[in-house]
Amino acid sequence: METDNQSEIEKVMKKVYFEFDTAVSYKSWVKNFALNLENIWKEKSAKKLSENTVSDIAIVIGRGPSLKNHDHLNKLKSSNYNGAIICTDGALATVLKAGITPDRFPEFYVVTMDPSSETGRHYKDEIINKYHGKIKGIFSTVSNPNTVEKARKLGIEIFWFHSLVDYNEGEKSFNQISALITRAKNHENGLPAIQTGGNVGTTSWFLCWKILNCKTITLIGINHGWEDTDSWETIMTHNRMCKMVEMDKNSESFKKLFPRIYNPDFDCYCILDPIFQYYSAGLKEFIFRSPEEIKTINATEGGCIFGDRIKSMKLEKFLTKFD
Amino acid sequence: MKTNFQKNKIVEHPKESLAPKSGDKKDYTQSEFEEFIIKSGAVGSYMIFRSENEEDEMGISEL
Repeated sequence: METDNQSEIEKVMKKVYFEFDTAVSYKSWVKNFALNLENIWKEKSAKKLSENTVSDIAIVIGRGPSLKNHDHLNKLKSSNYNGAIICTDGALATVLKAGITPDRFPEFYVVTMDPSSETGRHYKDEIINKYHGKIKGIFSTVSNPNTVEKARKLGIEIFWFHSLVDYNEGEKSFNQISALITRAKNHENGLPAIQTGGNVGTTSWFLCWKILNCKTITLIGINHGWEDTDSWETIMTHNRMCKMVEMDKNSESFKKLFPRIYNPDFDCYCILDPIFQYYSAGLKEFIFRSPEEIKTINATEGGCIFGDRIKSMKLEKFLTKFD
Repeated sequence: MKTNFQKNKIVEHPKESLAPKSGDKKDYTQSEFEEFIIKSGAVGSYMIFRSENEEDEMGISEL
């Protein structure tokens, strides 16, 4: 495990997060939770999904570039795969348009964990409405309420979970207080609290294991890295999600912050930024720490998710198991 | 995730590669990393959740 690097990254992320971002994030958690509360009380716990799962195999679909590079959605659509589909919110419309639908794959879920209003754009496409009443949405209690409402109007059935953010800070933490409020009505036993790993891909992997009781979790479109064809502007701003910092691209610092790494399992390269270093090391760590019975297959055919307890495999090969 | 499907213009990237392996030595200093994170604002909405009770990090069935 990349413990030294990850420990350094986490120290910095924690410091910066608490110094510069917590005030903003905390306000959005509280506001979103407050506005979601009536619906949280009325709607179901994600735990309910555990009672009705049919398959113990799931495919998590991210929106990494390898999805398109390897024509994965078309291959999946043409296969005899009959397990669950867990779609990250950003991939939903693309996935449906490619023919990966709840009509074809009845165990079809979409996941939203980010509190940002930006997530609303994932629920704008009219194609989602075509599957009214057939998609199950697994939402964090601090998801943006406007996003959840859009999903609801499109006929997505909402199931709630808590995102673990500050539970370790004790009785007065946001996690503990919001859990107590949730338990006050209709959810006396509370809701499941899920490790997000900071991103919806890792959240989805956890939901497959912890909520859908899947024993085999296959990843596609989970690159957690950039392609050689992506511009430095895209890479250095995490696709325009943060500010461009001018750096000497020949400096040692630059090469360490944006390493180009070799993925021996798929014989390819990818470029990481600090955010992907943080996310990918986290996901790899949690896969490593999961029980032996949980098998993680990476069929992304690119990116940087490889290592201990991760079986890399071409998607085509994985799908032949269902022939 | 914030990746995209669109191919951007082809640009020159360094040819050398770093393979992440178990137990790699620290690749960069904390200050280098911190400087970049602060300048860029590259902090997402969530942190990885950590706890003294490591089991909690893997999730809590009913909270």
